[in-house]
Amino acid sequence: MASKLMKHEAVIMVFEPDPIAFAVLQANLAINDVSRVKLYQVALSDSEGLIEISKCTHGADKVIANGARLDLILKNEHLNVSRRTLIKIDVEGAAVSVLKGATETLKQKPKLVVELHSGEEIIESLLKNYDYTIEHPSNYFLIAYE
Amino acid sequence: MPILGYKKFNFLYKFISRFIDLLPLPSWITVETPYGVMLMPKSFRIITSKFGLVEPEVKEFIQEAMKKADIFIDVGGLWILYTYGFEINEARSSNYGF
Repeated sequence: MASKLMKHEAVIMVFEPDPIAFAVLQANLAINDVSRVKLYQVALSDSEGLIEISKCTHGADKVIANGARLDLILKNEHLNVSRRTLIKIDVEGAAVSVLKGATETLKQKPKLVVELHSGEEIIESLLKNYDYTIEHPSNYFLIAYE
Repeated sequence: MPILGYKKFNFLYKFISRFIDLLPLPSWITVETPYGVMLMPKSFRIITSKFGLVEPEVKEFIQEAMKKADIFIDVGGLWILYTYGFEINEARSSNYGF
């Protein structure tokens, strides 16, 4: 276990606001004896406060979650994002809000993988403001890096 | 990779999803995947997870990026597959090393 923790010192942060999905995440981490992952039960967005999100098990149903900006969370955790950082976003159409809440983070040019549900043009336009190179490996994903 | 973009074959995706729906399985299932053991709902993802075929079009980019990553942020990390892949593969390589 010690070697497992010391092998790589990367910080792993997982954001999942849905209560059911969050409980499943905790269970899956426990099943696999993974303890190094930092879990946050918040919905990353462009503002703080309560917001409505789609349920993980049924997209049409909604649930209220705590919203937070990635910039603020990283600042509170005293973490400095770099070009080596990887951010994967799969938030059922809320990626624009997530990115708008991460403007300071984007200035550091972390690598991005975004699952596309809607707002593709807005996402591309936003990322081009930060001089990202953008690729589309399929219709469902966008990859961005410097 | 033949499975690349399997969602494009919408009819096949729907057919298999329907078939899985009809199987007499519990609504939540534990599946052993290349990344670890996963608790997940009965869905098409059982098959893709079982064979390590989740999001094949970005898998290579993510795994390469993760090898060098100082921070990995998974937003909406419902199935946390890549995090598992990272953690568990690191653990395995450590074990082989010793």
